[in-house]
Order: sequence, then C-alpha cells, then structure tokens
Amino acid sequence: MEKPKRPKPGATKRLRELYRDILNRPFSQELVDVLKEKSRTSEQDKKKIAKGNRDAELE
Amino acid sequence: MNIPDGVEPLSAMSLHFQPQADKTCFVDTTVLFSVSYPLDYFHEEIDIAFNFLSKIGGSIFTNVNVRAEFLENHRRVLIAECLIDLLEDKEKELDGILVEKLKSHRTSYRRKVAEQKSAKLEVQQIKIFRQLLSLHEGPNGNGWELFCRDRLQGQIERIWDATEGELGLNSISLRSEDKNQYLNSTPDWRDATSLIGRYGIASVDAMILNMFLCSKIPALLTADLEMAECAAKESKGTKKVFAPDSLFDSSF
Repeated sequence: MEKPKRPKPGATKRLRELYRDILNRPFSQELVDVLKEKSRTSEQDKKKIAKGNRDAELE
Repeated sequence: MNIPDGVEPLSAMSLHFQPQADKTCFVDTTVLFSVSYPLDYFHEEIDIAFNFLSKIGGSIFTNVNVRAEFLENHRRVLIAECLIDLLEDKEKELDGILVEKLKSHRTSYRRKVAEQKSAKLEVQQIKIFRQLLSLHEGPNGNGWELFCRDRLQGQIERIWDATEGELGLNSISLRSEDKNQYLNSTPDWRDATSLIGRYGIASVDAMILNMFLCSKIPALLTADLEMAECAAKESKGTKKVFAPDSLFDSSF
C-alpha cells in the first residue's frame, strides 16, 4: 500500500503568513486611473445596479 | 447545544489516535477552509487539531468536491476583503456610488465578523460589484478585470497549492487507480442522492459524505454540525466524527 502524504511541521503558521501576504498586495495605478474615469452610465442607472436591480438598463 | 450522538469534540482526538491506531482522517470543506483562513471562527481550534495530526504522523484525505468548495469559499472571502481594501486605500479617488456601495459592504462585513458569522460575500453581491466596476473602461480592461488582475489572479491558486502542499493532502479520486486503495466500495450516485433525500443536505455535501462513507478512512473532521450528525448516523459507530468544541457551545 502506498504511503500517504503527511502534514509538514509548522504548516498552519505558513498558511497564515501566506494569507497576510496575499492581502498586502497593492492596487495598481492603472486600476485607480480606470476607476477615476467617469463612466457613461447615468447616476440613476448606477444606483439601480448598486441596489441589485437586475433589470437596470445600461446605456 | 447538545452534542449529537456519535459526534466527538476535537479536543478528544488524542484519545482516538492511539499509537497503534490508523492515523488517517477525512476533512470536509469547513475544516480545510478554516485552517487556511486565519479569520475563520474555528481557525484556532482547527489549527491545534492539524498541529496534533502533524505531531503524531497523521494523514489527511479529501476529494475533488472539497477542493471545488474550498476554492469557491476563498473566492468569496477574498473578494470581500479586497473590496474593503480598495475602499480604504483609494476612497478619495473613487466614484460616489461605488464608494457608497463599498461602505455598505464594509459595514455588513464588520457586523458579520462581530457576530462571528461567515465573512463570505454573497454571490449576488459579487455580481453587483462586478457590474459597477465594469462600467469603467480602460485600454487594458475594465475596472473589474483590473481589480481581479491586481488582487485575485494567481492568488487563489497560491492558497490551494500551499494548503495542499503544506498539509500533505491526499485526494481520493475515482479516476486514479492507485488511490482506490483507500476505498471500501465505489461511491455511487444513487447513494449520494439518497443522502440528499433523507437528510435534505446540499448535493456537494452529500457527495463528500458519500465518499467518506465508502472510504477506509476511520475519522471525519468537520465544522458543520449538519454534516457531523449525518456522518455519525450513517456510519453507525464504525467511524469517528469530530467537530470543534466551540460548535457545541455556540448558538450556531
């Protein structure tokens, strides 16, 4: 019977460190620049989307 | 809350895993997610359980359904946290309605965490943020695509790869002949369907439970009381079922 793999010592501590590292990634300037751009959608339609109205008609 | 018959607290694991005992155990999504997500309510207890398993040379088994649910849970929680980061890092530069929506999300997230509830974002809410961010177009993609590129792309894989590698996860697969050594019988769709019908559990939980019942693995670790109760009833004392101690004390 093939021997099963086993957990490595200190595994859970390293998983916590990994998660922290993932959350510490910065946002790119490109994303900020794109989000700064005004969209052509009306404020009213954006409000509909934010409320979760599936029928909101986008321009 | 009373401990359901046949379900034991994680703190009792050491009594089960005596030196000569089979030290393999099956874990469901709740446990695997908890150990890899530091803010999960059961993280500390599950952490202790995994360290114990590592110390005694135990082995952890799972299957493809657990992996799929694990990835989905991390997607939902990572998007929830990254959206809050976006608000806190870039609020002054964002659109008014987007900021309002992000603030509302942050309030809801904080309330859930304070009430010790799951911080996972609802799928419908993810769709709303996707729509809102997608309204902003750029030469290399819209806002949602860039948000995913910055914070999600490659990261979900990192979490899975690290969890699988660090915990030495063993996957029981029906396709892989060499892994069938851990099965007593081949899991059957009808058995999984029967579990759904008798207990009203989700189909994915039924498939996970069915795989555990068909396996030679003698113990299940779960942080889902429903799963624990069903596993204990179905295994009729032939297998051990462990759940976090706090699950029995809480009002979940």
